[in-house]
Amino acid sequence: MKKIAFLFLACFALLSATAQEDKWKEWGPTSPSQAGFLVRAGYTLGGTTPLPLPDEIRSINEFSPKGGATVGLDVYKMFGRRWGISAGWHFFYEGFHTGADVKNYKMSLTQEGNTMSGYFTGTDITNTDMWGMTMPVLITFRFAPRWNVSFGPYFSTYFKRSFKGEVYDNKDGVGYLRVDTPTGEKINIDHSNPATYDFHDDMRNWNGGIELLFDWKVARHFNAFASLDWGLSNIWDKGFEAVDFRMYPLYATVGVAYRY
Amino acid sequence: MSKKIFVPALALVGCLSLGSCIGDEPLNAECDIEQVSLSVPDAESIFYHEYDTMQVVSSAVDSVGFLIRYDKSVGQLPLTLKVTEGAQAYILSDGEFVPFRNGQLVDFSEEQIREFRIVSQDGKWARMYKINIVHDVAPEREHFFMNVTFDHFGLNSTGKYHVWYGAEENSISYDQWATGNPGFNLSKSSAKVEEYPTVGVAEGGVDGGPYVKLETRDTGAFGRMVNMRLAAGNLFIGTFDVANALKDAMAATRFGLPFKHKPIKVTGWYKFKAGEQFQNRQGQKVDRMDLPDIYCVMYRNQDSEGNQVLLYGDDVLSSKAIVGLARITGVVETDEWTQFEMAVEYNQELDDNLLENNGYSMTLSMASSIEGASFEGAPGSIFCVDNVVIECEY
Repeated sequence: MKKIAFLFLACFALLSATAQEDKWKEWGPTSPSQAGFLVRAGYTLGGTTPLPLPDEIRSINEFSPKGGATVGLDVYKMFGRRWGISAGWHFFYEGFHTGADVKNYKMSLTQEGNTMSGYFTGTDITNTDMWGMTMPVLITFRFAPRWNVSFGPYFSTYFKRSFKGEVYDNKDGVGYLRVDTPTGEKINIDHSNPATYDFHDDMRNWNGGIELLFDWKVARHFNAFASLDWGLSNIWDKGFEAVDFRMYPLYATVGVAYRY
Repeated sequence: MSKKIFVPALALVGCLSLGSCIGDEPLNAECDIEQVSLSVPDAESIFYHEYDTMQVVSSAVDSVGFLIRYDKSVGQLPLTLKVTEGAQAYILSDGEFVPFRNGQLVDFSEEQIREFRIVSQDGKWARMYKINIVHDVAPEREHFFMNVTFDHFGLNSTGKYHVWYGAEENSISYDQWATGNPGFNLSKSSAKVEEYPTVGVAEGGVDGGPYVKLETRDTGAFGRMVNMRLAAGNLFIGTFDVANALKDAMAATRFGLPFKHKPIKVTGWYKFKAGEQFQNRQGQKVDRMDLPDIYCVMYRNQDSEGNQVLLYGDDVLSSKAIVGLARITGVVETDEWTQFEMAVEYNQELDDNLLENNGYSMTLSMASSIEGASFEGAPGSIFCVDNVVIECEY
């Protein structure tokens, strides 16, 4: 009786191991070559932010990502059960709108060879749009049969970008520039006649950073994914002084993919 | 995946969604005297008006002068300074700056200049100020001519543009001339001195000497950013408050200073050339020839409740406070010095007692574009003026 029980248990263990083995196989690459491609489409949210937020930014009153989109193609190759690599080519549109209250925010604007610089206190509204292409190269770790996490660098180029905004008084009616230094002339600026700016000419047309990507295999040819793109290079050209701190793009994407 | 990167990445997402990464508020970096007031019992016997004991100090100003009657004197007076929040005031006393507290007695006798140093809350910035009390000139009840030769000009403190001094013969006693040059400086930091709208020219006046050249100028990209596409050259008796140059340009030009005489006629010399294309505030072309402007306004500077009355860009020619007005007519384009004459028309008799007690203010104002205050005109309009004489009955 004992023998029978042991045999039964052994069979059961063998069966479940086989089942586990089957799962890795079932949810693995669909091609025998362990390579394939993914066509991704996603919804992108995010913005461009100084890191960390400088103390001069007193509050962020409005932050509304305009909602971006990304479509692209990844090719991948798995080396064994857990590890693999992928490379992608994605087209994207990203945009955001922010409204922040600032205090003694150092800025310097140059237009047609004339410079206006100083310290602004009041409200700053920014609208950004970027159209471009991003190319991630990722290492993939499959930590469960249906789950992949991928991580690696990406490189983006922009076809079109805009960084527009305006400054005016805050809700307490305070809005002014101190010219050159905090002891310079005080120039009041209010919402009836805001000062506008457009910095698109001063933005780099590329950006590099890192991407973190989670894939969940919903069906044999169908993934859901979430990714975070964190720019590590300043969005501004070298020598650009209008904004006193470096700013970095930071975007999250959720979407679906066709997997082959 | 390195933890080092992953943790800040998550923190960032938190920041963006919750706005929870706002740092501590920086301490104030500004260190202005915003207002100066003197406590004087029976102020009107020493000053002219109750309001003469208090002055709002523009950010561009670092010396404050109070005017008392020519035959009065002051000694120690309690002084109150309104400074930027958190800033500390110091007063120069026996060669060193010591903390100043509001209400402290300050010796203003003998027109001595008292020096103050204001240090910002963050301790990184400081400004120096001078405050004094000066005597008005004694009134002279005789027929006289105030000659405005435009000979006395120089560079402002930053060396960017010309300013004019009140050193005219028979002039009123303190700095009197203002221009819109400080506003233009904001929009065209690269402009050379002679590229400003209001420029002093050393030679070539009607008597061969200096004259003033007013030219309507394009304000460039910054001007378009704030919908102020041009700046007319202007020169006027009064003050220009650059703080309001963008927010409310009409309020930036404050016309007139107290005047103890009765102007009856203004004469002078001009040359004028209209700019090619007149444009409206939006920069659209308008089929119209540009014209310059000169006017002289005498007005009552206090209302029935004792409040100070100042005329601004939008009411200097229309205010109910105006008692006398002269304005140029019949200007023609000419490159020869041409004489003009305009009579001051009064709508009421001047009150001699008020006149002696600084109850009236006078401005003389000239501009290269008649609608320049509304940012309309023709860039390139040039109006040169020299040897203006304000004839006063007494």
